Amino acid sequence: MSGQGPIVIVGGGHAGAQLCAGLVAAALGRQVHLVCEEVDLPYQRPPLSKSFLKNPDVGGGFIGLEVAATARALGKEVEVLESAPRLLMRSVSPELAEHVLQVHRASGMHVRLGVAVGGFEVAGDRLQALAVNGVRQEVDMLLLGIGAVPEHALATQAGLACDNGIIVDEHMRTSDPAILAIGDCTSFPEATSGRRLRLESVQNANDQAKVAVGTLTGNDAPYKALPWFWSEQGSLRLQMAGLMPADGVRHRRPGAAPTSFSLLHYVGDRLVSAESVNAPADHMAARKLLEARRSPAPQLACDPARPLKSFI
Amino acid sequence: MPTIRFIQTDGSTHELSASEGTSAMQAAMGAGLQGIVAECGGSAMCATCHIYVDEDWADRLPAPLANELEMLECTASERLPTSRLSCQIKMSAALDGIVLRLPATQQ
Repeated sequence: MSGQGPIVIVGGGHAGAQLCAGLVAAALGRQVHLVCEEVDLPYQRPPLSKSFLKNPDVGGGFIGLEVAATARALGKEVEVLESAPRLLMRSVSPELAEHVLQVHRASGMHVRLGVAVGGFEVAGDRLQALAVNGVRQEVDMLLLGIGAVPEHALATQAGLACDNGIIVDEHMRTSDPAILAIGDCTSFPEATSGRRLRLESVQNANDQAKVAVGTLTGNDAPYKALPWFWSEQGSLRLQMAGLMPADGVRHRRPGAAPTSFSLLHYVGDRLVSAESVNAPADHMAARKLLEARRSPAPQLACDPARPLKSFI
Repeated sequence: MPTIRFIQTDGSTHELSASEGTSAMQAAMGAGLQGIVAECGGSAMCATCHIYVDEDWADRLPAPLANELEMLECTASERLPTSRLSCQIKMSAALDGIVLRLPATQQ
């Protein structure tokens, strides 16, 4: 996509800010405007959003657990209520979810799984209580960390094709050739399978911004970055690389410390995803292996005597 | 506000000011400085804000914590004794004028 007129970015989230910086660095000689609802300039949000919050409650996903773990570390009583039968249902393997559950319970966090939450009781402008499995429970403060839906009202008004997000191709082009879309709101084709994905992650925002800069500057390169995620929950540093296969076989690689390990996921003899707990070096090595499509045999990759990066 | 002098691999320098308590990485990102990627936004999770601290300044920084040390093993450019993650360098009056050199690549 080329042209001479100004480029307008709508939205001041991480993706919008990264695109803005990338376009400025590309020195196109075109004006770049960024329009957003926030009153502050776009900034680097991840550390801010993950460390400024205090005093939580509902949802056993990343956000709910990050806040709950922080509150627990501050000595607060916390109870996490999750409707699914396990934690982190959308994002991690059952084994990792079980480990996370045990660590949080050992820290004194109360976690209830498979519960139905409703019956919000409000007096004045304060929430007083809610019903958990039909039983009234008083609360001081409630945090809802129950997921996000893509906001594509503006895209729909503009006539863009949307289905669980704004539909884009591998160059971030929407159904209108003059409009690109990037970040959490996009439904894009996965590079290897072609199946449509929508990811809510910093990596996805960063890398889609780079692809959009390429598309706008005539250096078209398709989006094929390896997805990776992280979550800091109290003493747990979780890092995930690649997308969890539905039909994978998991192998456990011990970490350097008793509290660290990685789960390597294979489909057949191919490494497709890795989950690391307090093992950032193994996470980085796994990312490089996945990017290079290298698959060391599981018994070798799980030998703690051999650094994972020796297989790159 | 304390200032930071970033030196690019081609020798060009950029003098940036940083609020006390913010990180050297944040100052670089705020100014759109080329050479710092900061993929993870300051959580010591990605090693893409790697810098070399000028030798005159290296001893004046608090020693890296375990998580920074582990990520320093994963830098794209060679790790040197003066290697640090700029997201873990908290600016203060004592660091006014610190000199940080950028590596050849972050990824």
